[in-house]
Parts: sequence; C-alpha cells; structure tokens
Amino acid sequence: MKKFFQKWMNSSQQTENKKNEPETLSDLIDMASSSKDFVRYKIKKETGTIYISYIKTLIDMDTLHRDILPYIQHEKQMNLEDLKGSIPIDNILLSEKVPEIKEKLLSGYIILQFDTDIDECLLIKALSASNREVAAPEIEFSVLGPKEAFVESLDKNLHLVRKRLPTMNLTVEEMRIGTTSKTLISVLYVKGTANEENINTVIQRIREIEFDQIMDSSFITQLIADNQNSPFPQLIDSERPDRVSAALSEGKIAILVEGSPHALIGPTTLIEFFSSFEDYFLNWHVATTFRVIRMFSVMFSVFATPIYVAVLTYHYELIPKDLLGILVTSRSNIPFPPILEAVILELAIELLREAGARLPTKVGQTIGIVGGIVIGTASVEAGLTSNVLLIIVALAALASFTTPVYKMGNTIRLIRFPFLLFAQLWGLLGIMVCFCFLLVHLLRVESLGRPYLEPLYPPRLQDLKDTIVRLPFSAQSLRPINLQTENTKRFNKQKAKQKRDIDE
Amino acid sequence: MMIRIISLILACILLMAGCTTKQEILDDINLITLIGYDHTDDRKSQGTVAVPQYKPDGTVQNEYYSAIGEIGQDIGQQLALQTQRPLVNGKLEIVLFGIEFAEKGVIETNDIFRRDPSVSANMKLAVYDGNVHDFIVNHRIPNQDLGMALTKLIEQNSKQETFPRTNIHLFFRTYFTKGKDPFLPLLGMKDGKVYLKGVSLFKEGKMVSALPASDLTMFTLLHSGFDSGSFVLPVKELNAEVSLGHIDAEPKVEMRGNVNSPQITYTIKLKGLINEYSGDIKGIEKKVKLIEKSVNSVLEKRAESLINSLQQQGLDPLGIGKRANAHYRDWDVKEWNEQYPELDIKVKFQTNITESGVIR
Repeated sequence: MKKFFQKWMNSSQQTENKKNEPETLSDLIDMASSSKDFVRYKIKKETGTIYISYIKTLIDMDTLHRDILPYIQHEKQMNLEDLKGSIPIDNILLSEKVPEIKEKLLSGYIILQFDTDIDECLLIKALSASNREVAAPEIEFSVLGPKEAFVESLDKNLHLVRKRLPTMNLTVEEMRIGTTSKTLISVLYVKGTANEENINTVIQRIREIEFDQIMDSSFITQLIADNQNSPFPQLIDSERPDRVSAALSEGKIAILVEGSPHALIGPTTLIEFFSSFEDYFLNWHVATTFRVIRMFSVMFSVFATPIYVAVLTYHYELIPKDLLGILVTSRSNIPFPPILEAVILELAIELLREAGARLPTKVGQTIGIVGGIVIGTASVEAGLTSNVLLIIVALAALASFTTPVYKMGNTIRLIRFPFLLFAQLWGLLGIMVCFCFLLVHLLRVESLGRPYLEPLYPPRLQDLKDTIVRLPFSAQSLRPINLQTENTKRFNKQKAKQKRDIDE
Repeated sequence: MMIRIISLILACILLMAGCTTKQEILDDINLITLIGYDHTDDRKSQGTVAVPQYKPDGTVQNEYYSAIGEIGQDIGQQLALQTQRPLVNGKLEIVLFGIEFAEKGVIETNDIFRRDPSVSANMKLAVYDGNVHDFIVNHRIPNQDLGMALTKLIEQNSKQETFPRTNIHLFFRTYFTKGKDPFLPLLGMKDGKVYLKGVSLFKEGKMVSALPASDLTMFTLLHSGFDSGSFVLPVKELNAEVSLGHIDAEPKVEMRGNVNSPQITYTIKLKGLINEYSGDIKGIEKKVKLIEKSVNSVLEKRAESLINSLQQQGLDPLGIGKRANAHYRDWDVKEWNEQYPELDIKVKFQTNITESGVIR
C-alpha cells in the first residue's frame, strides 16, 4: 500500500514536471485521471449534480459509504455550505486553492463539487488507516518493563509518548521534509526543560535538509549528523516509547518520522549507547554489573582478535607459559599466518550474520546452526583455522551483540578491521596507534553540538552517576550537565529522602 | 590539503614498514626454555639448549642442540646451523650452570640475558652439580618441557618457603649491593630425579661453596623470614620430634656499638603451631612451654653454626653487611670485609606455639 502510494506519488511528480502545476481544479482532475485508481463520478439530485472524486487506494471506503454518501443522497443541499453542515464529519475544509486541493487529494481526502467549472470544493478527510498494531519491541527487547514499541504511524507513536508525559510542556513541532516524499516529521521536547539552543539546532538542521525522500528516521540521523563521515551513530534510535519519554523528561529532544517505527534521541554520548533501558528496571547494583559487563564485552569484541594477531606475530614473549603449549599445538598445522587466519574467520562470522539477517527468520536460524557448527568445526578439522582463534572470534562476535543499540553494534564490528590491519603491521604498537586515531576521532565527534565523549572528556564528575555505573535513583536528582537543561533539578532530593513511615 | 595528508600517511606506512621489528610468528620459531653452560677446556665453554616441541596431538618432546664456543654469540651462531627454525630467547625459563663453569664466573654470561629485553626478569638461574650437557641430554621427563619443569621445581620451593625467592633480577641486585653476596639454587641428581640440593654461594660472581639441603630452611628463615613455613625439630628433653607448621617469623637484626666494634643480634619471633608430635600426644598442651624452650635452643644452635660457617668463608648471603651499611654512619666495605669473619653474631629465638591440637 505504502509502496504503491509512493509509486503513485512518483508518477504524479513526473507528470507535474512535464505539465507544470495545474492551474484550475479541472486541470488537476484531468491530470489525476491518467491514473487508474483515481475515481470520479456524479450523483444526480433534484437540487443539482454532485461530483465526487478521490483516489480509491488512499481512502477508507467505509467512511465514504457510511458517513458521506447517505447524507448526500437523502438530504437537500443547495450549495457547498449546506453540504458541509449536513455531513457528520469534523474538520471539513472548503477551499478554492488548487495547490492545497492537490495536496489534500494526495493525502487521502475526498473532493466534493457542485460545479465542475469553479475551483471551490469541499475536502473531507477519509484516509484509510492501514496500520500495524502496537506490538512488543523486537530490537530492544526487555524482560521487565512495558512491552510497547513504536509502529509506522506517527499519530500512534505520538500517542504512545504523550500518554506517558501528560504535561502541557510537551511540545510537538511538525514539518514536512523531502521534495518527493513530503514526509511528516515531528520534533518533540519538553518546554522549560530542554535547552533552547538544542531545540533550535535540531529544528534548523531538519528544516535545511535537502533530499528527495525520507523513508525512515535513519535517513534523518545521517542527514543531520554533526560528522557524516563518522562510523559512530550520533543520535540514538529507539523503538521504545518509554525510553523516548524518559529521554524527553531528562531534557533531550526526540525526532519522530511518519512511517518509521524508530524515534531518534539527541544529544547523546558514546556511553549512552551501551546502556539498555532495562538497566533502570533493575536495582542499581545489578544494573551496574551488567553495564560493566557490556563495556568489557565491547572492549573484548574490538581488541580480542587484533591482540591475538599482534601477540602471535610479534610478541611471543607475552604468552603465559601455561598457554604456550595450547597455542602452539593449535597453530602447528595451520598453513596461514595469524592475520590471514583471523581475517578469514572474521569474514566468515560477518557472512553468517549478514546471511542470517537477510533470510527469513526460520531459514536464518538454520543458517546460524549450519554456519556456527558445521563451518566452524570443519575449518578447524581441515586445518585452516586454529580452534583457539575460533573461540576468540566467536566470543568477540557474541560480545558485539550485547550492545543494546543495533547501530552501535554494527560500528563495533566494523572498527575491529582497522585494528586487525594495524596489529599485523606493527603489533601491539600498531593497536596503540590505531587506538589513538579512534580516540582522537571520538574526541572530535559531537552530537547536536554537544561533546560525544562527555562525561569522560570533558570530565563531568556529576554526570558519571549514570554512565558505566548507574547509581540509585536517589542519587539521580539532577539532569545531565551535558544537556544544559533549563531546569536542572529532576526532583527535590531532600524531600525524596524523607521517610514518612511513622505518622506524626 | 586532504590529498596531502593522505599521501603523507601512505608514505609513512610504505616507507616506515621497514622500521618495525621483524615478525616472529609463534609456530615459526624455536622457543628456547633452557640453556645450560659447561666448562670444557681453557677458555671455551659448551652451551646446550632445550627446545620443547609441541606436537599436534598435545604431547611435548624436548629437543636438544649443543655447541662449543668462546662467547655466547659464537655458540648461538653454531646452534643456528643445526635448527630448522630460528632460535629465540623470549621464553627462556632457566639458565643452568655446570658447577665447574660456575666456579669460573657467571657474570659475563648472565649479562647477555640481563640486557636482552625479550628475556623475562623473572628468569631463574641455577647451578647444577655435575655436567649440564649430560644432564639435559639424558634427563627424560615424559610430556613436559624440561626448562619449565626445573623452574616449577624452584618456584614451588620458594612458595613452600624452603628457598628464598630467586631470579636473574634479584641475583644482579644482590651482586651490585655492597655488603651482600649473591646465591643461587643448587640442583643435583638422585635416583634419576632432579632435586634441590642446596644453596650455591657466590663471591664476586664466582661460586665458592655450597650449603647442604639440611640448611635450606634455616637459610631461608634467616634470609627472608617465614609467612607460613615449617620446621621439624628434635625435643631432647622429651626424646621426641616435633613438627611446627604455619610459622610466621621475621628476622630482626639489632645493631649496637659503633662501626669499629659492632654488636649484632638476630632476634626472631617465631609464631607457629604444632602439626605433628612423635611422643605422647596426651597432655601436650602442658608440654608446650617445655617444647618452646627446647625449640628455641635447637634453633639458636643451628642458626649460629650456619652464620659462623658463612663468616669463616667470608661470605655474606644474608646481607648482614648491607644492614650494617644502613645502620652505621661510617661504614666501609673494605673494613667490613676484614672484620666480618671475626664478628660475634648472636641469635635469639622467641618461639610462641599458638595451637597444639586443633582437630579439623
């Protein structure tokens, strides 16, 4: 349906380009008639003839049959005003501006006319709602907590956020971006909390987007990113309305895109990509432990194979003596140097992941098993890869999946390869050099103009309360300094500390 | 601008690729774990290396290469002629010196390893009582790397506190310290098994004498004290033997007088418990005081005789001179070395037996 709409829009765009803009309503109807799904017919009555035109693939037929046609046929109307009064639908527009009529026609309105020669007509909204039901989150799944995820409908998504934040300060700004797609984009923020400058940055950047079609929120991430050449995502995308609501009340800004089940949250920091929203559902010791594990697994995922390559190629002295026998034994039959062996296995894992992601779920599982068990053991038995490296690569791949944000997981898998290259080139020194490049890059990245590495650099001790460690809620009375919020206090710490167990 | 930066980086990568250390891929090198040195004739010595071969089925075989030469590099070059893959020093665990070689001096040989950055500072040095080449070639230990096995033997004894901690770093530190002489473990063969035979004592980098295995524990106690050591001692008064365990002791040296007539007293407070007693175990708690007294006198006698024998040979592996240097203002090595053999060094033990029969 959406695709068809898109196609239809594209074709109408092309005709528009040829014939320019329609000047009169009849021109418009002529142009629309070239498409087979445009419907136009007349209803003859004693008082006159009413012309009804619409795009049948866009509108809801029930609305037309139940709420419009009966009232046209059975009652007497002399003009459009009468008609407007007799149809029991709100927000009926009376318009004579051709561009507006065209736009409304293309967004699922029904046109009612008395006379074909004049431009004035009634516009009745009857857009068919072919939407997915709100379902459980699939990408950011959590065992605890709400099981609602965004869907492709902007209105529903806004509803999901607004019902969680019943405040007058929650502001929604709308704009249409994309020369062809004219996608509706909403920018959400809490007035009085979110920093004015941040809001202006977001709105200005979105307004200035020059692009033909915005199909998903990830288009926006890439188009408004501070550094578009960075492999690191600079806005968090989340499908959880609870996470978005929490971010909004924290003073962040959310961007929702019509047709996209992912909201964008910014400004953000690197560390935030490694915090899952489920962390807030667990008590702080457990949450902190998991975050530390996640940070460790990211480090492991990036460095494990490069260090293996560096140590086996240059620094045999570093291998503990008890491990020496195991490593030499597993390597003794391999015809390749460690780097080739590592690259082959890493690529194999990437292949498996890519194949698994592109195939339907059920086949995908089979691919995982076939790849993991058969290819893994077979390559070891054939003597192409050592089993120690197989374990390391498999663990590193597993570790990269612990990152809660999918886009960050991809980045982590990608940045492993330059490290591998440098490890082969200069050993541990090479890994160090590559890490310096990475660090310098991260230091320079900004998210909506706010430093990406905050609170590590610039160091903001107060913001460390919710980074690698998550301190208890009682310690979280202040909003992050990084966001420069208008109102820094989340709640009154003194009041929160009072115990009112005993009535006085 | 961008092109310039990229071409600069490319140039660096391409031109500086030659500046890196050469690759030593783990399975394309021969890791030496043990080097043995023997004195042959006049100025030449024989070097023997043991190289573990890790087989694909998980077993380990030791391979040996041997060469005679004048200096280390000479031996190294001759060894290279015999091997398929380059020999590397990085995983060297232990260097063994034949007793004759040790008596000629070990400093020049060790200096190579001290300066080689790939050699661990925790590498062990030891003296073997006999011909090292014969020992390495004939000693068969199944499925184990010989160098590692010897290192583990020494480390195990350091952990059990029957021998002080030892490695190449500590050896050289002692060698360069004024008022202390270096020492190394002395290994020997008995019934086809290698064992820790005693302590070989060095003066100026040359081995001069050795302490027997019976003195090992006392030597360790006087040198570095105990955290959880043990002793087996006779109790003459009760005509029985007692074994003390979990001993916590710290040797304290009291210095009195002046630099010309120093009075030195070792005071050792020894805290331990009775592990085993060969006499009547009943009512042992009443005999504890007696045992403590007896133990004190036995230990004092042993310690004094050990220190006396060291003094007579002019050796100071316990570092009494070093302690004196820290205590007396006008301490001088030469004067000290002259007066050291004549010094009257007293030893006082204060044993405290804390438990005598806890049933676990």
